[in-house]
Amino acid sequence: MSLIRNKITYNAPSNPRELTQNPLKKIWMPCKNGLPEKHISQRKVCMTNCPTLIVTVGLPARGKTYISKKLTRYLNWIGVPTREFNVGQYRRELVKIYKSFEFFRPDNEEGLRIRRQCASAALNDVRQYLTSGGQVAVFDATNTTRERRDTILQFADQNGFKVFFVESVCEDPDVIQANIVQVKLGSPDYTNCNSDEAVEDFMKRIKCYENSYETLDEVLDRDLSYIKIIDVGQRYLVNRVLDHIQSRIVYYLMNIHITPRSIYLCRHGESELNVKGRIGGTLFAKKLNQFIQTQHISDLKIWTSQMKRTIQTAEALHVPYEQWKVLNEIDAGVCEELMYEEIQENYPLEFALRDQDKYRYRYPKGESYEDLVQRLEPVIMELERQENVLVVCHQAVMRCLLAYFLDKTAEELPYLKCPLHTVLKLTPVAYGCKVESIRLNVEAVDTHREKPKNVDVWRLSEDALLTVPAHQ
Amino acid sequence: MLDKDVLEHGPRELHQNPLRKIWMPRTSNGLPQRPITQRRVCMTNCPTLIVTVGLPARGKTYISKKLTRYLNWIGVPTKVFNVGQYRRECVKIYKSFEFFRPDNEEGLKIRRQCATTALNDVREYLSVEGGQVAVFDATNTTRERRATIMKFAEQNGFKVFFVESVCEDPDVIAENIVQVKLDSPDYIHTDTEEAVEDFMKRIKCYESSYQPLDENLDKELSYIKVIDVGRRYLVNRVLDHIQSRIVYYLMNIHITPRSIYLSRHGESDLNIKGRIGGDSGLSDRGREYAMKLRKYIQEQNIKELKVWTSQMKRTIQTAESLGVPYEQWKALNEIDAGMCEEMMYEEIQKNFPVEFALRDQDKYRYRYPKGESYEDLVQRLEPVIMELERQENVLVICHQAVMRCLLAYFLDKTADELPYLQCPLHTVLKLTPVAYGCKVESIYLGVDSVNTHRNRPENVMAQRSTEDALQTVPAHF
Repeated sequence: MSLIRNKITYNAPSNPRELTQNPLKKIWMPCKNGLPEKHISQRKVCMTNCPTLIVTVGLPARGKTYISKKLTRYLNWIGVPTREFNVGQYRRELVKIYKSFEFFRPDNEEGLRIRRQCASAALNDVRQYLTSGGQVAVFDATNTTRERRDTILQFADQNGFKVFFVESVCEDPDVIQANIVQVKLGSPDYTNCNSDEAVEDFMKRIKCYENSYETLDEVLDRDLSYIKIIDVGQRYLVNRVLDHIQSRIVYYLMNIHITPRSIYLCRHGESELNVKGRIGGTLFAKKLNQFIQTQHISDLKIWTSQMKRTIQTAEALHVPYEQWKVLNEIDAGVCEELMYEEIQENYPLEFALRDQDKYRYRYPKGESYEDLVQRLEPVIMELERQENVLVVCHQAVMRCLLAYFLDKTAEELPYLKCPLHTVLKLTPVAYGCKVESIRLNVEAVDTHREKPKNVDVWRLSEDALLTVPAHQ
Repeated sequence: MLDKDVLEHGPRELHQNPLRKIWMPRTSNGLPQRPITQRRVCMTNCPTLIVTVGLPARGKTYISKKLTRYLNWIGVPTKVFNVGQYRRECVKIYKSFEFFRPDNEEGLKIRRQCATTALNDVREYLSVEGGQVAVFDATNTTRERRATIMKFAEQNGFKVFFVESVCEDPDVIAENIVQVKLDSPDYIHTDTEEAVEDFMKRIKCYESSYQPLDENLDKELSYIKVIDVGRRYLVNRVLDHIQSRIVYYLMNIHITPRSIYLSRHGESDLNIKGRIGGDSGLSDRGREYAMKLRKYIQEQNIKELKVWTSQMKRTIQTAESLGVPYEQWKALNEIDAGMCEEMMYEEIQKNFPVEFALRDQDKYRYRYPKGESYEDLVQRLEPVIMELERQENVLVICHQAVMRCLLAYFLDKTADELPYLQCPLHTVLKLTPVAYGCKVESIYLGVDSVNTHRNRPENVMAQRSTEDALQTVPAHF
């Protein structure tokens, strides 16, 4: 749902509107005749009034698609509906079989025609997306000529979209080589080529763009909003950041890196409360310690929450760790320390609402998954900056972090499997994240509750408690 | 890095610090260990030296002071070292721009001396006094001077981050001179025209030897170049978390004139009863305040005012009376008093006398059981401050503890002062940036209310009498 603010005229009622609290999100909203009025804007990310079109710029193998996908994943996670539009994809759909770099030769009229067509088709889809609920579209293509960029600017202007360019400039042959190996060799374009042939062809492909490449210029493009990323983040040029979302995008892009590393996510060891079935593992901690030793991780940072159980787990590792309050488990408010059975008995309506929309549901005097994501954003930002990190946290928190790395939707997030005594090792690879699940062979109670079939507020207790995991 | 002591004695026991509610390991002899790192701002192992670069009247001191204020507020001990100050202490009376002429040997000697003295104080601050960041505020316009500073930093194990301000817009420079130079101690006895003329000549003295940070020659340095008051930025080799935060902050601030209005919600039902926290609605007087607030806002005729509230009923009710769109921020919710939510101070004293005493001992760091501290509040309000910096005219309708935190940021109050700042009900604080700080006007809108401000009592010992504990509790119904 897009959060476009309504422009209301300065017209104060002599009787201020009554407020009612939305039962799901616990948000106070004005109501008329007992019915909630149109939803007052709720701050998440300060929306501009108009959608934003991010336009990548750069020669092939400069990380444009990597940046596009990563940025899209981040923006969606923080709640900004974003989609990427990769023009190469459109080209592959149109030209079923890729023959060679010749397609990209600047004197190939047919090729040029097809490529222009693909760009237009993509822009049409962009328009469709941004006018039907999308907030940000990432137009991922080389866009290396001023002419092409002018076309896009005109398109954006006609449709009332703001434009922000993200240019990636890099001349380091090692980086380009690694890029080709990581993501180009596996491309559908090169399915039927061997590595050497593919690399050779791709290098020629890059050459086709080089002559006509017009980089964003300090003077000629001084009125545009853009960030120029030089040598994979060694240096940045930022011009005319216009609004909040652009500022957040710049901050994010300036914090990411491509140095290989792994992120380890795990929950605290089983706690007394887990065992009794109440929501709120020394053997596990020991095994975790052993596991960490076998991994031979260089410079591992360890983060915990400020709750006793994660700290106890970290203590067993005998290395320094940092406590983050924002890694604390979701606050269940009035339901803290209750069993699911007790929640059903005392708050059956709340229990049902939670099943109806587990992501947005906020416990009374507590938090929602949606709130969790907002408070975890600085953790994600720092994880992006860091290299090898082990995060010892909690079920709901781990689900949120995992959803970020594995690009899960808000609907999937609250049901991601994050069992006790299992370490998830995340390693960035190509455009995504490889995930290895390492079960540390220590018995634990299951704390995962699936969404039951019946989520109606008047359902029977047995229907409500159908999926509650076994406990003592 | 295995801890032999732990291997021999088993896992360390955890003990929860009673003030901050932080779990810390105890050593085998039962004493709490040095506190394990508590994440606030990721500290680098070594202190950071921020070095400004730029011609006079390019906003270096403005940036230095603002950045220092921000870093201190988020909990990073930071201090500015303005070389001009040192010069004024050395050369009691400023005569004219001639002092700054590049061929004035005596002037050069004194200026080098001042820079050295300032650097000595920097070393003292960062290596001895516990400072984390020092801002070395001077022109530093030659590569030679910067090389000297870098050598100094290297010898002492400090990281260096340059902040250069480049601007050639004559209007901006003229405005700068009017705002902050004319009132400088240097020009106390000079009339405006003379002062401007002299200052322009002073700038000229630096121009011919100015070596801006260069893309090639300085490519190994860590720096941000701010061009034309933020239109454009060049960022090179950001090394760590604190530098990344500094860059983000500098990229969000602006100098467009505007005002920020801070107010609490109107008086609430719980306020009247002397109870803290909760999510109650407005009292009759609170509703009256909301109407008066609307009238005040209309009279102020503010251009494009944004209105922000928390997600608690009382601030939203207040905003509803304004008849304009508003945005709800969960981060603006009042401090969570945990187990003490909705209690009167008398009840807290009765049920949790030790907690009540601890709070009086260190109100900033004290965390309510299952609740928050002021220190926690600051961390959660940081995005609000960042967005306030980006915005122009904003009215923030919030709560007592929250308002104290925001006010402390704008008025550069310390952690010790913060929890005792006066933020009474039914009073709007209008903050307007001026020169290097913030002008604050307090507007009482004439609607009676209870007083919710509780001063620190004289006796803060855990074993004090109930009478002593409740000495400063404000009257309530």
